[in-house]
Amino acid sequence: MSESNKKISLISSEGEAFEVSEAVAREFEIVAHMLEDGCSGSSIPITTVDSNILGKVIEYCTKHVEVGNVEGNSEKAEKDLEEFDKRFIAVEMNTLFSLILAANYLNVKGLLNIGCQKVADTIKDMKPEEVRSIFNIENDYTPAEEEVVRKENEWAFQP
Amino acid sequence: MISDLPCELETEILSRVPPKCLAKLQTSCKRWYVLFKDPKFVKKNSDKAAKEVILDMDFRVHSLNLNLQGAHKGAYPLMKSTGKLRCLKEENKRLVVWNPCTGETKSIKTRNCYKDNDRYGFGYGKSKSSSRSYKILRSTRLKNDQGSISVYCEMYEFSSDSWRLILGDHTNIDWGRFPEVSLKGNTYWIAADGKVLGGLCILRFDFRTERFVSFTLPRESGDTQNSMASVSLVREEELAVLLYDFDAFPRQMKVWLSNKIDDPKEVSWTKFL
Repeated sequence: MSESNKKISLISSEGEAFEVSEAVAREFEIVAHMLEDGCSGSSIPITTVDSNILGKVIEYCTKHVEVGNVEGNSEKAEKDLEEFDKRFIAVEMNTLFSLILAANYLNVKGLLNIGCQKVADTIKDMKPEEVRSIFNIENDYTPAEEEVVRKENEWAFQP
Repeated sequence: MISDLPCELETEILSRVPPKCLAKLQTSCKRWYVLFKDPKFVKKNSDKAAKEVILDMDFRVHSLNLNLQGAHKGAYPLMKSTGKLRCLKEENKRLVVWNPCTGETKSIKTRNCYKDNDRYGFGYGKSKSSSRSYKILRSTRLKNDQGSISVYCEMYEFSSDSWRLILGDHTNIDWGRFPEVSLKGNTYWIAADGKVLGGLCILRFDFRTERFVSFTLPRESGDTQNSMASVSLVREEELAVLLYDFDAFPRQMKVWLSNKIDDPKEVSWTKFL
């Protein structure tokens, strides 16, 4: 349909332009829809995502497009991609949340998936108070109420 | 650390946390407490989070986390059964009940030491507040001084955390060696039919009325009584019966399904195979 060597500029919130192939830009579902809707401009502003995060999302999409284009030996390619994802998502919590927000906004499903899974894996063995601070949640239980809920779930606190 | 995470993303993340860990996180805030009990969230969680399975092995019960992300959905039909609990016995001294949806386990004290050939049924009746009142039926065979065998049945109720005897003559109730299944709050199994020599029937323990009810097996003309039968479930919605007729020539297996099995006089069977 469209030539694979066509270039598109994605503009970050700071105004920085990232030139990518159309195939990579199409990994952002939001961009793919814009292109399908006849938006023919070669530069697309991504106003809610900063350069640092946009660069990372592009890195993720570029790798996935590259691997998707290689034919044969799919098992090895899949393993490599899994390894890439693992390394890619091993970032500190603030960046991870920014990546999730960007993946959600740009509609990059694979990245959203591994991002959410990474947070889930990180918080699953944490204490409620630690999780509260990560999600910026205020404890709205009175000590007595909290004790009741804790009692109700006492079984879960046992090893 | 992060305050502007939209609710749907928060839900997306939390739905991937294993249920047992979610139980601990209920103490985080009231909003999460409500969210984790929302049936829509429970469904999402059972689709996405790592599963906990229980292994009944070497007379001990083990729990095990299993991540089936991406595996075929049919691989864990058990986990799809919201609210269903499984009964396991451990070392014949206590019963362990496990909820596959939450990973919650509960140890139940027994009245006395249990025997290997005791049989258990699991189901629920209605409590006063019209919510489900979960119960466990245990039946045991005892030989009296005269050498005759009698069958005792007792009932455990989760709401009162206690056992009580179920009165009545259960001597003819033969749980046999066939595995039982739980469907819509009642337990079904294949038992010897007291009315027909060598014949089999489907026996149900109704947990609402706390009575045994027997059903005749689905039959076609030409079927003989000399058969083997087994019960199973289809998606926890239908009862399936497999019949193997020893006397038929050529030998054949038949599978019948029923989704209407309330009244013994009005059971409708569909031949599946």
